[in-house]
Amino acid sequence: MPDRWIASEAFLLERRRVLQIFGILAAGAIIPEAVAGANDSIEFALQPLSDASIRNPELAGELPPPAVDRLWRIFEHIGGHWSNAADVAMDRQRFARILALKVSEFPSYLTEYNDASDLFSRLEAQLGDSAQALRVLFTPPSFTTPDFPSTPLGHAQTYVVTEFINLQIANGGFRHFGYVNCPGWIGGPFAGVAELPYREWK
Amino acid sequence: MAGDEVDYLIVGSGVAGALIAERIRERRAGSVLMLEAGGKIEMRNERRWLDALMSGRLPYTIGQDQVDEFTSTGPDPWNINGGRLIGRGGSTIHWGGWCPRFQPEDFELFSRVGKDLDWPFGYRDIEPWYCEAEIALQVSGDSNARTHPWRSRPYPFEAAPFTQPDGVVIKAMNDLSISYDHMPIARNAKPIHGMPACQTIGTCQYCPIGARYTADQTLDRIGSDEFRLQLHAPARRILMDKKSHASGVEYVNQQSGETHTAYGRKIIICAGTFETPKLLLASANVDWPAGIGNQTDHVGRHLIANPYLSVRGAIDRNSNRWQQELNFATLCSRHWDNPATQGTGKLFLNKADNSPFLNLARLMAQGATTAEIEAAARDRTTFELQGAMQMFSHRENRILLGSGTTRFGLPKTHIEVPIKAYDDANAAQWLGQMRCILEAAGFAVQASSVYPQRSDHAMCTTRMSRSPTDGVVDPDLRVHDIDNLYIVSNAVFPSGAAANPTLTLAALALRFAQHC
Repeated sequence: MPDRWIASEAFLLERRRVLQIFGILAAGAIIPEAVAGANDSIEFALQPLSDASIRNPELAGELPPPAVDRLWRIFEHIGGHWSNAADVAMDRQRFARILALKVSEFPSYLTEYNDASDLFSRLEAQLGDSAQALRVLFTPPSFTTPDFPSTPLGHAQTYVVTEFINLQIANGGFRHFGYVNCPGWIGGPFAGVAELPYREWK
Repeated sequence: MAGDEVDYLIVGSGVAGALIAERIRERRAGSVLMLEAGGKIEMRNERRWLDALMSGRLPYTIGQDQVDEFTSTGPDPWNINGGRLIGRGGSTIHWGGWCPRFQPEDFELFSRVGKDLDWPFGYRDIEPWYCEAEIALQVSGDSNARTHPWRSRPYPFEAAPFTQPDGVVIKAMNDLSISYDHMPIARNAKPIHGMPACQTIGTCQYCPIGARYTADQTLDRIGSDEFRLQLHAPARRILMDKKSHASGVEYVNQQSGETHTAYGRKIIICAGTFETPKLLLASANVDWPAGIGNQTDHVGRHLIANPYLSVRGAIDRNSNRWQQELNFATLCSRHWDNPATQGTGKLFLNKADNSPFLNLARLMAQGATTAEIEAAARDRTTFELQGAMQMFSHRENRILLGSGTTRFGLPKTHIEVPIKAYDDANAAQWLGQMRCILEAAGFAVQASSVYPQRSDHAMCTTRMSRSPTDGVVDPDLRVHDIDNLYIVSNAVFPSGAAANPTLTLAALALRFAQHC
């Protein structure tokens, strides 16, 4: 199913739109004149890093409040972008507690979260507003170069955006699409209840 | 080297060892030392759960076999990667928790069809222990099920009702007059043993609240009064002070590198179908030159498991947005798990617990829009039926010591299977029946196959027999001709079945613990 969507016309249009933001194309592709040269603006997001695995997983600590704020904005954007915010059972306090768990022990996400927060700030500054910055962060990476996962943007998409999407769907985002239960959702017991926490065959 | 001396020395901390140790301590029968080659895996830990949920990273894969830790030869080599787990709690740490009993005829395989061995006791004898095992493993099931074997007591917990996607398959089964039932499963519907009721969280691979039974829960309950669990302590050999008496076990402390000897009045090997025969073979001495208990060359032999069948079918439209909203199996069929099919190999059928499933988060991460996802929810989807097939043993198929040691300090494993694990014609027959069900449900069959053989459900490598001529342990699970050495493992099964073996192992362990 996912492969089919990637190949869909809608997705190809999305790709072109994103390429116009990035100003890059896959190796060997013909770069349209209209977008050539624009890549300089976010080049910092596509600089190669040493590898694609979690950076500094042994470095635990606390996230500074501004970083928590920016990460919360990234999380909130999911609900706005996919119109399922009303279904999500997650407030900022609980979100901050989850982040604290993720940065306090091995493998710690402290570096990933700080770097994603910084990247978001730089994208905002470079592109002029947060909407454009979030658009870059949420652009699927599958069409870019094989080295994409080991770039700042690749790291942010892997360890922040994708994981936040998983968290958001599990915490109620799935309900927007008509489902009653989903892995990660605490549905409730299946015995001795008036209403089951999943759709039952009768 | 100072030794430890205990009443009971148990090798292995999986479900068998854990239940035995718990019962020994409950009746204050003596001190227990348990040796476990692996380490502790954090269970019911919120951070580990978040990792599983957000990144798919499970904390226990480190305990699974790596590809360079075993070899396999034969026409259909086994790939045991991912099939078992070495660590505190053993393979229950990653199991699915399916808990069917064996059928009464499974205990009489030789008498009925002339294959393998009969068990030295029948279903009626082990039935009370099945009841006890279902409590220990906190099993939910349908006490009035039509195709499960008779029972003297109800399940401790009621079964989870069928899901909507189950209904699609059930309707087809009804049309074809194929019987079906609820899957008995180790999920407690109400609080038990200090664990809360299942909350249908759906991350059963790593349950954050312990509603999926894992043997570490039993170990946690035992406490430290005359019970000690030594982790990272692979057993290297069993020591004998005379031919008919074991004195202890030599093991390595993996963290210090030192070799130790633990002494025990009774020694109970609960190390599973692979490690148990390897330990006996590695313990060869002057009195037992071919390995302990191996005077008639049965140690390691007769290896079987359950070949696993799969049929997938697709429908072009999913107007009802069918989605598997529980992450454990609820529907099974024992229609072909009966005496009539016993001669050629039975089938235990289930609807897969992970289909149909539309991964919303993945679509979002790939850039699909809300409208595209909503369309996908009603678009093409797939269902999968799975089947565990009964296998018959061949003396030639066996476990041997490999060269070198694993990360856990255990000898590597060589799996020699010169005779194919299953009969192609029988597998084809069952795959055909599974295809019929999906086609009757309106699906176009897309794939039909047998999974590569793993180590799940492996059995029979130190099989139970009345006489040393036919096996390794006697009906009391004592190694033939040795006064105080016992084996409690799937390895002692004289024959297999189509049903998953863990509940039967738990019943055997509780039966054993009563009198050990």
